[in-house]
Amino acid sequence: MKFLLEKKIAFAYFLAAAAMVLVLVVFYNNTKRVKATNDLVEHTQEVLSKCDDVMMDVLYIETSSRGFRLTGNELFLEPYNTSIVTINGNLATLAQLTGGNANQQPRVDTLKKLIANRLILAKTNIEVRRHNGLKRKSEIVDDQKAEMLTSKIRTLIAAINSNEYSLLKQRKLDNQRSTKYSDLILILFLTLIVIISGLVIYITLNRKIKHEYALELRHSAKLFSNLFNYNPAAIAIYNLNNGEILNANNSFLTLIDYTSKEQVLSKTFAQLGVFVDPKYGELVVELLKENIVVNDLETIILTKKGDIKWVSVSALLLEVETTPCVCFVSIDITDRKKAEEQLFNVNKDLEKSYKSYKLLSFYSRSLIEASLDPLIAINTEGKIVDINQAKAAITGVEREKLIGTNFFDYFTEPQKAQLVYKEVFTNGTISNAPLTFRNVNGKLTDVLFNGSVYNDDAGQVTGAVVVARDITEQKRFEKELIEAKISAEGAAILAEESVRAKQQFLSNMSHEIRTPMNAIIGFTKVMLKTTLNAKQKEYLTAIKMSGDSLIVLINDILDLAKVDSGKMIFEQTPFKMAASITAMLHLFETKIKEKNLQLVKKYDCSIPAVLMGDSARLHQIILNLISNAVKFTSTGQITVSVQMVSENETQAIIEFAVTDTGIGIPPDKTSTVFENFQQAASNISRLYGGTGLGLAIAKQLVESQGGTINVQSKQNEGSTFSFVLTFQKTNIEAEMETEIIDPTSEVKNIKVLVVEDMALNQLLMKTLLDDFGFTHDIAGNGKIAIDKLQHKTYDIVLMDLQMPIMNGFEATAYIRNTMHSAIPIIALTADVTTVDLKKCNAVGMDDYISKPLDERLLYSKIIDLVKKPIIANEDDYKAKIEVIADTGITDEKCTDLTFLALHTRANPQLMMQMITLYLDQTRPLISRMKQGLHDNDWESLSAIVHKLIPSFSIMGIHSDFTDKARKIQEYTNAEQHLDEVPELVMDLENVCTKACMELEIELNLIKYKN
Amino acid sequence: MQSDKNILLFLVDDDALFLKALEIEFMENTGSIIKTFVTGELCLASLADKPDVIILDYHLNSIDKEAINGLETLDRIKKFNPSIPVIMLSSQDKIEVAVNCMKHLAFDYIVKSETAFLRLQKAITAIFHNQKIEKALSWYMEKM
Repeated sequence: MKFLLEKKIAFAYFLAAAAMVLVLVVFYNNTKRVKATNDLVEHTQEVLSKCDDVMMDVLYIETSSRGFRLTGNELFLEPYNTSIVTINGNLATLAQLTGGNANQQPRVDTLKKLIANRLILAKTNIEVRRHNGLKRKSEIVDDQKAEMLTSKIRTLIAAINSNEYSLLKQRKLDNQRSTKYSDLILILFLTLIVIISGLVIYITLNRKIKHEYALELRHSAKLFSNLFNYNPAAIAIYNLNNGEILNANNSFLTLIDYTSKEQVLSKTFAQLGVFVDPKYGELVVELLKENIVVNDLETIILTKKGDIKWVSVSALLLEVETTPCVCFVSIDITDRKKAEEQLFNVNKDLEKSYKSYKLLSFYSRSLIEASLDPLIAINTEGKIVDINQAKAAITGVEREKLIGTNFFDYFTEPQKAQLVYKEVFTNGTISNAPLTFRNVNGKLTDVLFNGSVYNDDAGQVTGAVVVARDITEQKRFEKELIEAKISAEGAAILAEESVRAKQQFLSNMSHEIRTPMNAIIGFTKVMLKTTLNAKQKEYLTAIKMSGDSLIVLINDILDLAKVDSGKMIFEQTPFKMAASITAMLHLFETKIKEKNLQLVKKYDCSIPAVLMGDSARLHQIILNLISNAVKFTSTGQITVSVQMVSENETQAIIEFAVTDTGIGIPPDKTSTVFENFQQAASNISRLYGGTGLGLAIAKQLVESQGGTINVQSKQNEGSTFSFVLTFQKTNIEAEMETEIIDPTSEVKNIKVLVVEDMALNQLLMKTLLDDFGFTHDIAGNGKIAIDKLQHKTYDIVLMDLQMPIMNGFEATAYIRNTMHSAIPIIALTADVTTVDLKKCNAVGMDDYISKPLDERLLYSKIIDLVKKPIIANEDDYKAKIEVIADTGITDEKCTDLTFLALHTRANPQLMMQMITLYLDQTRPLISRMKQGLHDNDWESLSAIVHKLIPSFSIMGIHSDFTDKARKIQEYTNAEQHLDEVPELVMDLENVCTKACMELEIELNLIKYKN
Repeated sequence: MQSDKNILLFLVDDDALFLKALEIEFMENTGSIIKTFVTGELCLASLADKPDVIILDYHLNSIDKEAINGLETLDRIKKFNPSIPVIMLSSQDKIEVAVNCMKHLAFDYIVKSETAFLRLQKAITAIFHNQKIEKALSWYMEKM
């Protein structure tokens, strides 16, 4: 372009020069022509003047010749003479002048001839006149000729002049034209010069500007190059046609992990191993083509090294030498992206934390507001800066009015409040400072202040937050609590008292009942040993049985009461387990024999011989279980097993089990049999009697000793009651033989001292001891007993506790401590509360026995303590057994009126009525039963048998028959085993008939007696 | 049972022996006035005496097939005056029997046994307790 401009400028210069030269040449030529025409004009004017001269000469010659011929005076010839001389010269000049003009030549020649003729004429005339003097006729002819000649000359000269004039006119025109032309050219030239000089100035000026521009351009090019190459933004120019990179800067190279420009130029992205999403490229181009500015469009590229980079791209379309190109300016924003991401996360976190903070603050605020305790923030001056609603409520002042006021102003004692304020700022905290708020309406609220100071960032104390706890309610509660406590204490005392009263009552009752019972039973037993007829014996037996069951009931209730009140105390004394169990079983031997049962004892020999424990309680438990087993078993056997479960150095865990083949317990009742007054079925007690306390007591006794009791049972097959107890092992030999009776041994010649104040009991004891074959003395009180002991030796003392003058405790203490006697002492007590038992042990009694006396127990205890086993003879033993196993009726009677007597309180009228009713009802039933069997009328048979069942228990008919009756019912209802029915009916018939007979006798007896 | 003295008790059982035994128990232990019936019909015929409690055997027709049974008697008593409390007695300890009795609006169901008397006493006490509560309740309801 520059070159072009240069050329143009040069060409312009050349043209300008050429034009100048041309103009100059033209000007020069023109000037020459002007000069030439000027010369020609002068020449013409010369010619004209010569012509005039010639004419003049001619005229002079004529005039002078004429004047001389007329006058002949020679004077007149003078002009002639000069003109002749000049004319020739003029003529020659003229000829010379007109030499170049062909038109004039002939005229000049003619003129010359004419002039020459004239001159000859003029000369002849002059000579003729001089020589002839005037001759007139020759003179006239000569004059005429001269005139004609002169005219001719005149005409010629006029012709010449006219020619010359026209020539002059021509020439003058030419000259004028040339001059005019010359002016024009001059003007042109000058104009040209002005133009050229203007042009030159312009170009020169232009040139200068251009130079500066070029300089600047170079400068900017350098700048641009620097800017381009060292731009931190990656710039690449990309050929749209073939996708090659036309140019790229260093940053771009860095961006795509290249180092040299040459590696990159004229290569496509693909060739470079740089991945750019083609869709992205297309989008950019598309946008650009639609004149949409592409600015900061972000994308991901994959560099040569495989790094993923985020770039922000600005692009513009441009043409490089007509090639459509795109210039990409990319900024690596990977870091920014990462930062952004982090920032985003941070922001999010921040936002979250801000939100949570907001929430928290909101939450905190709502917490503060929700608090029913007034919260007050005070500044160091003691002004309120913030409060919650509770504070406003408690003071009755609006929040807005509260803030900024003095903290102390709302209390009954501002001084105290001031102290609180001071304490907070001195100690940093305050706790439970009591103050009283005064509401504007006068209401007072007792509060406790708790608070602590809070600091600003610099740790400077800026204020304190105090919380007032409304203790009005608390105070009220406190008051109520105190009242409640007082009343509760009162109630507890009352309850304790009532428990004590109950205990006392039970104790008293037991004492009060046992004492007379002791006499009743004792004397009954004594009486039974006298000679009696059958009836008398029967009645006495009934009395004894009733008494026994009453005592059992009382004992059971007492035991239960004791366990319930936690007053049951278990001794830890050494005893011989095997002997203890054996002795225990002996007690049941007769009863078991009576019922035709077998007793099986299984004793684990690995059980240590001597163990620590409460043998009496163990007896009681086993006794309860065995008596249950005996009671509910009519056939089969009762198995008592004692097995070692586990043992270690100090302890032995022993399982005791009593298994019977009795009626069993229905599965749903097994869990309740241990409850108070519970029996497996409510009809059981009717059939078998008992209070339902036995198992409850057993369970309580076992569990109180840390053991467990269980029952397994199958209805109609039998039950197993088992319990597990832990016994401490001991090396001490059992001091007390817990053997109750050794069946093969007998004790003889035991001297017993009975200390008893009541004559009735003295008599009873006397009778019993006589029976045992023991010798005895009776002492009315402790003092007499001591006297007797000092004078006589005894083997054992039976000591009543409550006696006048000196009671049993005092006497025992005296015997042990003063007399230092180790004589066995058995306490006789009707009062079996634990307190007394403890007392008994404390004063040194060896054992106790509760009234009413169980003679077997008494016997065994005496034997135990005296330890004088002597082989007894068979008869004695038998006799004793008879005494011990005094169970009354043993004959073949099928009825037992015990229940009836018990029920009717032995009211003979009622008993008679009952018996009569039985007889009236049963007899027709027997015949109808037979009829029913005969008719195979199972339904009515079942109904009749059903009717019979309750009467069995009332009349004491053995429960076997109840079972049989039920079997009949069962079979007839189901119409199964019908072949067995006749036999069963026969049995029932027999027993009922027999019962009727017996009862008739009884009826008569009662009638007779009354 | 301080109010025993005023109680008129009907005992209905075809088992004369048990009936007597029960009568004796009640006579000896409580001050109630006792009337005994061996059939449901006799009992029904005496309802005009306004018994306070009726103790009714479940099987009334085991001897006399033609006699109405316990349940029917119960129904008729209830028909006569549904407010008369009836305690059912039976020698059968069966849940169906118990449920059946309850369905026929018996106040309680007691199995004949040694403890039957005690249970009856308890049930009677419960009856009067209930009646007292009901009276109190109706009094309060009226007040409201």
